[in-house]
Amino acid sequence: MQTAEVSEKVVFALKKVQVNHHNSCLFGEISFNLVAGEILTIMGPSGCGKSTLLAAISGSLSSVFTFTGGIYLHGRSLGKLPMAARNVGVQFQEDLLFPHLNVEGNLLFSLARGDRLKRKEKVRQALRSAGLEGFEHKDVAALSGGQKARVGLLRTLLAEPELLLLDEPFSRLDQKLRDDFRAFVFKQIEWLKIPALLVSHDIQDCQNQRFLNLVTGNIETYQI
Amino acid sequence: MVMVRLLAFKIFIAVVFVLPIAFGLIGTWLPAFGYFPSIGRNSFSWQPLLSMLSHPSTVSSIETTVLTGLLSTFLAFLISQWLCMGLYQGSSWRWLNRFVGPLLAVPHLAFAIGLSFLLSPSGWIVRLISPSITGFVLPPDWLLVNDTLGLSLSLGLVLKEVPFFLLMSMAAMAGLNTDKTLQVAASLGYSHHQAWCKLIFPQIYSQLRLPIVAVLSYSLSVVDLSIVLGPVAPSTFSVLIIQWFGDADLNFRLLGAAGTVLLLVMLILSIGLLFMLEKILRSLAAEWLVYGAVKKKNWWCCFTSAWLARTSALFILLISLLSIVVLLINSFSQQWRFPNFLPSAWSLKYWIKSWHQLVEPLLNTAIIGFSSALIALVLSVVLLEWQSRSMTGQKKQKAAVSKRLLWLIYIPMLVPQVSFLFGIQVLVIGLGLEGNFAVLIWSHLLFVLPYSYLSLSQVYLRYDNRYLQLAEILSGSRLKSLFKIKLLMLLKPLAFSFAVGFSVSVTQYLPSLYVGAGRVSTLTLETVALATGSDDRVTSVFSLWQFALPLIVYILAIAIPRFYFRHCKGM
Amino acid sequence: MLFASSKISKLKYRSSMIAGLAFLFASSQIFANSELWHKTLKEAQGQTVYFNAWGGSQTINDYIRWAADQVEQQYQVTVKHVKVTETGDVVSKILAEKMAGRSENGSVDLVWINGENFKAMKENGLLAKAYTQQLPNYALVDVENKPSIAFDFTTPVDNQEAPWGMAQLVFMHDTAHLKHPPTSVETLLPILEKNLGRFSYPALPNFYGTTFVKQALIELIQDKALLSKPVDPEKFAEVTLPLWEYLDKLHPLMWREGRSFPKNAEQMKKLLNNSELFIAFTFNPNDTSNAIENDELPSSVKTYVHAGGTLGNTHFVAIPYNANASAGAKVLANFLMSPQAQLHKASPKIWGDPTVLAMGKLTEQDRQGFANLPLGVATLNASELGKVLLEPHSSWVTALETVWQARYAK
Repeated sequence: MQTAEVSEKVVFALKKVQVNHHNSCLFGEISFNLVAGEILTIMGPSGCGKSTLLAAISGSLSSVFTFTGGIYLHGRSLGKLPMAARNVGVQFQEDLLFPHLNVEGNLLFSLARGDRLKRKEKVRQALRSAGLEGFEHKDVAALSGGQKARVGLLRTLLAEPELLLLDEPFSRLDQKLRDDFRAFVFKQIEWLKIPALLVSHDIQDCQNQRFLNLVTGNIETYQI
Repeated sequence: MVMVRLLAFKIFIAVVFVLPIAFGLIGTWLPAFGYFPSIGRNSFSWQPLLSMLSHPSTVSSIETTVLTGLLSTFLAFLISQWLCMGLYQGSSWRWLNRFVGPLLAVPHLAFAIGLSFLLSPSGWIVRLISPSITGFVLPPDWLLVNDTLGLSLSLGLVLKEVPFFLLMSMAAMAGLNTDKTLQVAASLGYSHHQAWCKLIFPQIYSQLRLPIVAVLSYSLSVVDLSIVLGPVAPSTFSVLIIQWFGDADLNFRLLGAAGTVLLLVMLILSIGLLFMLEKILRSLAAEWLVYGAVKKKNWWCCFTSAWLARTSALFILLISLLSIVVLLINSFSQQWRFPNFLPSAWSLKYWIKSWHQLVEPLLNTAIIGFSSALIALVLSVVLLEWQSRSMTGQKKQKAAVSKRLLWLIYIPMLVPQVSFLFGIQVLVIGLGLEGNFAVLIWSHLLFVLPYSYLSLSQVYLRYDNRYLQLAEILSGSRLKSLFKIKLLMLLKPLAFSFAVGFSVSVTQYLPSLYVGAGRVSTLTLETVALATGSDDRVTSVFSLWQFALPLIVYILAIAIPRFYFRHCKGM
Repeated sequence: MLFASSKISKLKYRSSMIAGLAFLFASSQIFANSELWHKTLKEAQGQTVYFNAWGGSQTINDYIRWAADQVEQQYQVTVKHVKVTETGDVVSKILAEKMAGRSENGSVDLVWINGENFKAMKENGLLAKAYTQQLPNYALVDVENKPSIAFDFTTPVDNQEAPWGMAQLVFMHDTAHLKHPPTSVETLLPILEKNLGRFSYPALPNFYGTTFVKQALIELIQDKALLSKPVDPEKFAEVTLPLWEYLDKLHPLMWREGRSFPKNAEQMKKLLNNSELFIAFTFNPNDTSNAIENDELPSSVKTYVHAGGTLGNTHFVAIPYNANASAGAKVLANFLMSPQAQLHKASPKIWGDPTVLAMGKLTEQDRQGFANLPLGVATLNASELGKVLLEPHSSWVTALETVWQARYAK
């Protein structure tokens, strides 16, 4: 039943998704499709349930919430899968780098198993792509805010997720860093050809001025 | 100004904690090297060490001691970590949190007495199935308790130390972003258990190193638990030392003193072994940590099931509970012989009789426990506040210094009590302070402070000092802000730390014996004296009192903050 | 008659006491003694005596509390019972005081002691000078017929400790499981073959364990005369051979096959109550009756002794060299030897500890009091208790312990 209506091009789809808390809905039914490389920004006032929606998609929804509707990634229904089996990458506001591992360790951690040297090479390349060449053996606590954010994102991406969720990833960075990092993120997503959902308050984070208004439940376009 | 304060602090720590212990060690070591003028030995020699080593019981006694010490420490640690992994985020985590306190309040001695009554061939478990299932009209002649390998002792130690490790792990986890870390790992394709082993455990381990050493030291040098559950001929090494110290032939005291030297050496070697093992494991695990997620299920997945962890936690709780229940029944029994499952005659006599000899020790125990726990709490807060300020002030070097200083506080917890208390006794008598209440409180404080500090430090240091800064700006008073904002917000952990300290004080036996000089009777002194007698009923009554006192404090420690903040959901 | 009633007023009591003393001690030497004693009594008033005594038995603790009350009322001396786990701890405390140079104001005023501990304290000068001859009630003690009062485990007492009670090794057996008890250590073996694992003794150096081994040695050694002399290290292995051969045969038949041992006499009693053991032993001939009375043992338990007699000794109270309240301690020691205290102590309902007094030296009334004491339900009478064997020379203890540990506690 789940794959019938999904077209070839659509990678990720939400169908009539609702999240309830104590029998009251947080927002109206949400439905949308995303294709590879597409970034959809979710906007709405604080407390409208943006992070909760991401939690429902990633599989980390707290047990006080219940959720209805369908979540499909490459045609697979994610609804009942444990978080570890969804293959959905999550990037939080905080960097959440593991303090007991160095930069290389943090990145190796998310790489799939395989040949030791090849994995190390992958990390090296990833660091170079982020302008962090030679940072392998640095202690994560010694990094600057922007460097931490980039290592964090690299870590999420090296796990080769099929969908990327970004929960206000730029909000802790200052304006200059924010622009740099946004460009970096968008480039990576484009390059990986995966859909992404981005929770934000900043209109500049919207790709093509499109965004999901969680209050109305519609995809709207921001008019300049 | 800061330097002066640091110096003053160092001197304070040295005078209060290090000097007396150094003196105690020397006072105990002198006889070990033959110098003991009290019995006419005025010259130094290796003789006591040699006689101690060649005593027929020494070698096998050390073997069992090391075996039980290492085995029980290792198992208790493993089980506690496994329970944390299996139960965290589960429905049982909450009640585990709630039961850790009361479990810690069960004094070792009371627990051991109850446990031996549960497990022995004429004990409660065999009675439950006798004669109906087993057909036993007489208790079987099985060597279950006091076995020669020390397995029953190890079991007792494991059951008693798992709650302590759980408490310490919970405290360590409070300093991490555990939930979010697990989420990140899950989004990277890691199962809960892999994520725990690779991310949470390595991070909390550094906080658990000290508790491990403390438990190791305790397991190697425990006396009361070992007398009740340990092997008899020969006994564990610490019991052998106590035996030598108590031998009517005074020359054996030299052997006892020599034994304490060896015990300390054993402990240092064991700690060295532990650190070496840690280093090896760490280098072996470095690769494994970042090896990537395992997607398929492993053969050991049955061990990771929450069900098994829950059952084990329940089992530990049940055994501890039954040990107390057995004591309770015993205290109300008049006659209770094998194979009766319940006493054949009941009586209130022993509770009523105990009352008039209970008041004084009960009061003393409460006052000493209250004072030492309170002083320890105040000292812990001062230390931690100082630490937390120096951490935010980016004075890294100073923070490192304070860390080294903190090890000094831990010394009384790490060095076996028998190896310095005789020397302390001489010191206290030399100063004419024996039986002095304040000195007795100080001697308890030595052992209470490390536990009190350890149970508070993580939560305290994690506190968001911005609340305090804000309060200081608003009120203009540092002290007022500290008391009215920070400490009040931390009321729950502060109360809990107080309860931990109190229960540590209540169970102290040797300090009360050596420093109290028979002038101050405490519940534990009375209980241990009664435990050498034949009347289980009276012993049970006193053991239960010894348990009730810390239990009440634990319950208050949980109830008072809850009542105080009953209208504040955020607390 | 000295202590007719504790309820009489202090004034009246004091005058009657002085009159009583004058009446009792006619000779001038004793009169001088009584003057000294009068001084001691005066000095003791208001003192607090810390009596360090084993606190493991409620029965004994209760008795000591009674004695403390009496001494408080009669002599205005406060007695505090320091409940001791092991006498060795008390010795340690006094040693520490000596090490710290505390030659007065010590923390121990009176200690319950005997045997090896007494010997050690005496030899190392930890005891006060001879004092028992000053105590009026010492004149009533049966020094003539009870040899262990003058020689405590063969160590001359030299008036440095006051006798408190008599002890004799008696065995208990549960008649519900074992009708006919052994009559010697030898006959214990065939009985255990039929009742495997139902006997044990505490591991040495426990006092009771050592006692059992000494008892076995006395019964098994060829030349019993050797035991009253110091050990001859050359011949020790040879003369004790029968003992070790016996123990080698006994241990496999014992509780837990001799791989574990009860911790002390008290634990043996608990094991007897639960039928883990059929035989146990004690040093107080009245212990069994007392335990039955207290429901610590079933009424089927009876007492027996070996045909060739059993070890007997005396337990004492001693004053350390640096005691703070030595006058008070003397008053307490004297009271503990008084007919009133001894009679109370000998009552099977109270403690049942045999008296150290000589019946012939007592007043008719006191003698009658002792004669009227009921015999406990499981207590043997004087003739059934049989012969009292004297303790071997104290040097045997260490020698036996060392070999025992090398053989059985390795």
